[in-house]
Amino acid sequence: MYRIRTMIKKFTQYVLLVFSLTFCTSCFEILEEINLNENGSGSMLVTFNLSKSKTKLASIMLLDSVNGYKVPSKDDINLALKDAENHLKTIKGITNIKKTADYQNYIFTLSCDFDKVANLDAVFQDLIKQQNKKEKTNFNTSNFSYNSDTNNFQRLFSYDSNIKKSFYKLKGEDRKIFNDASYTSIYRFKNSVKSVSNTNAKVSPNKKAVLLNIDAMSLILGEKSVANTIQLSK
Amino acid sequence: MKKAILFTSFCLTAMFVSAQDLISKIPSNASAVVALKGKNFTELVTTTEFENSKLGNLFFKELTKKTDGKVTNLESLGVDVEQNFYYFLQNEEGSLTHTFLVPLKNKENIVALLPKRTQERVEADGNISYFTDLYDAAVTMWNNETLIMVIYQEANTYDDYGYDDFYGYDDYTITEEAADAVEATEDDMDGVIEDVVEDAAEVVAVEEEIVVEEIEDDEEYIEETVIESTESEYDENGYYNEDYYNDDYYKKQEERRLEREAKQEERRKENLVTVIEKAKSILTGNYAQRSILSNKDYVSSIGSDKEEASFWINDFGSLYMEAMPAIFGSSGINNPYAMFNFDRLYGGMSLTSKLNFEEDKASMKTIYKMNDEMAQYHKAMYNGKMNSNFFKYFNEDQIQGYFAVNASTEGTLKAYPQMIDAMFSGVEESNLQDIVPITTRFISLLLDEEAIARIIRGDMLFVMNGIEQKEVTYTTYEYDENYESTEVTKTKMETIPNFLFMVTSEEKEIFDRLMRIGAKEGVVTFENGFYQLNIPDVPFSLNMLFKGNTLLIGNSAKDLMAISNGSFNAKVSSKHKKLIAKNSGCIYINGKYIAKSIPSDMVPEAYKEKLNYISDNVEDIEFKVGKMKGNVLEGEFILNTPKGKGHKNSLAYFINMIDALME
Repeated sequence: MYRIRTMIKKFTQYVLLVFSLTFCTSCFEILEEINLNENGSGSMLVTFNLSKSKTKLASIMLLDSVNGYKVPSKDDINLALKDAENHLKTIKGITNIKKTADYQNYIFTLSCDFDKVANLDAVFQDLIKQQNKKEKTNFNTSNFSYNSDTNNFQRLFSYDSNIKKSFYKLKGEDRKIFNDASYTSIYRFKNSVKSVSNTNAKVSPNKKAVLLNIDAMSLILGEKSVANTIQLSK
Repeated sequence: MKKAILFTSFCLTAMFVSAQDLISKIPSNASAVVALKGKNFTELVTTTEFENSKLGNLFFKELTKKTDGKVTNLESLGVDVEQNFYYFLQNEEGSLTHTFLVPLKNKENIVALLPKRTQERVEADGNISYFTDLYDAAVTMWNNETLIMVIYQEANTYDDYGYDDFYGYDDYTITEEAADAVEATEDDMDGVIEDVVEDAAEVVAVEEEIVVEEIEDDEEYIEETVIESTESEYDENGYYNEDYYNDDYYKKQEERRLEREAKQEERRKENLVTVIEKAKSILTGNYAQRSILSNKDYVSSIGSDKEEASFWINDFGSLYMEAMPAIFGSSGINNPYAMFNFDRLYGGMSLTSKLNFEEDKASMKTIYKMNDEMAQYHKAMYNGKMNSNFFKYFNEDQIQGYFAVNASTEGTLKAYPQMIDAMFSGVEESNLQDIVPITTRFISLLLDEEAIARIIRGDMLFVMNGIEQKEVTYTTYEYDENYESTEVTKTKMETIPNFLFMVTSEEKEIFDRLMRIGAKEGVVTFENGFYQLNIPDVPFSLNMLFKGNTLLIGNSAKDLMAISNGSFNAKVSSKHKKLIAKNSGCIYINGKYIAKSIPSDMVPEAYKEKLNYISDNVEDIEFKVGKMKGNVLEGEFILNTPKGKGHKNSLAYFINMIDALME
């Protein structure tokens, strides 16, 4: 029975694939959540949610490549998550590392606790350095900073026009992937938020959280930034 | 019938020869002929119309660039595009001759296009001019009316090792002689060993060991000595041996190499003389009654002169057998098909393809004529009977396209083993001629063809029934007023294609039992008169129903429910009935419906205008493979073109479409 189900599943997915590659649009969302304690320690959760494109992804996963790009298998994705987990384990001050992979809904998460905000920087530092070297980009290698004396939290980001160039190098069809994509960051604090520098950021009514939602296209074209300086009360 | 063919042949010959068509230069024994009917093309779209089109503009822009401004239009190309162009293949004693025939309007223009270096190599002989390529044994020759290009492909004379005194890269005969010597010595020594061992049978074991050991040592010594003498430019460690170029072995090889090169050069020159003579005879000659138009097979295959292009290949099996030496060498050692009985499968097979641009359709018809044996197998395999019940579940007003197969499972299961046996008959390699029939016989004994045909008779129809907006779920996040996120399930509409797959089967019992198991396992549910199978990762359930002698599988619950309770609104015209039932297989695509059914919000603004043009100008596409008629299997691809949209014929339609999409 299992074999028949698998066969039928594959058959229907192939039918869908032909169709979805033509008509279905893709979209995904990236959610970055940080809960910061007064002493600068905290927890972070990064979520890649591709659930809205699950029909297309289930079909695409049947292929070896799409539009000339290799389609990663479940094993490839699991390996990448494992690599990320192993990378986190090597960073001092990072603990309680967890990863999840939900292939029914295509949602992947990675979470950890950190002793101080500087530890978070180390998470992405190597990746950003590699990216800068490989693509000759100029992204700042420091992403987060927290000054406990002034109670000032910063999300750092400098736009590099190479993003736009790389984007326009993509084929028209591939660019569409970013049409409905979005990035959301939520930073939660123990202290109240006094001010935020990013005009697109919203402060919660209880003044303990800041939400920033940006569509991927604005980020790619440099129209909006994820950079934010959040001043907390003492 | 014969009289009709002869009469047609006579008419065509008279017509072509009187018009001095280049076909009169194609000999009757040509194995393959390709024709591009410039006359027919230009009657559909004039040269001026083509030049003024966007496609023509682009074509000449590129050509102008590549020819340093020498070619700006068809006139300046020097070729008479209003006449017919041909290619033909001749196969004589294993050597292949490829000839291209191009009608000229102005030879000076063609000559001007040649690179200066080539122009300097042009030789003249009366009103004939030509230049040659010695290495490829090719000649390009022209007079005032015609340009021909002849390429001669000589039969390879490789021996079984691929080396000989003509093509060999090195002389291995010395090494081979030495290897033979070793082999001979080994054989001799084996005899000695055997004799000695036999003689020593009565000697004590220790003595016996000593004798054999001594003999083995001797054998080893002889072997080493012989091998050493044959080693060349590399020493035993694989390092380059500097003395190699100074020794006699190298000098001998070098002498032989020079000898071979001289022979090759001589042969090329001989070949070139032959090619030049051949080209001259083709260019100046006129086969008249001996032309391809006197070849009954060609004339009966090609028939009328209405097509714009045609391809004909006569007796594929013989051509293959004769051309094999030219392609794979005389021994056939490199021939990947050597393990098949090619002649039994493809002997007597001919293939004809005709491209036709008519007023309301463009079509490509291919006629495949096979030998009696193959025809018998194909008849059995394609002797299907389309289930007329399929049409009860078919509504042509809502179809995007369909795919039908009208085969016979029973016929296929019976004919296929016989065909496989035939494929390997007489193949001695690896005992295939005996092993294959044993295997196929066992398989035939194990299979009950009739019983299998009761499960799947062989006729099936897959229909794409339009697209439907369906609600699908996805996961996202909601944030409370303090921006605490919660995972929520939302719904969105997704465009899903509806399909219905129909298969003829007599085994309802098997289906019912399978569904019962599925229901017990919780995989299948029964609702509204049909079974539903939910598949993870797929945004719809698969619905299954067995009605009469038909198994129906589809994703539209609405359609399956209607079929189950007998309220399905069926509609089928004779056009679709004929296409599905009268052919062995067919594919139909309703281009207009597809273009119109794409939701406009899915189409980027920039493409909307183009899509509107396409949906307004596109018609349906058909591909069909007919039933066997005698020994002939016919396939046809048809692209219908719209009427009343300003396209004067199907060729003009293509140019107009390309122009519109280039904007």
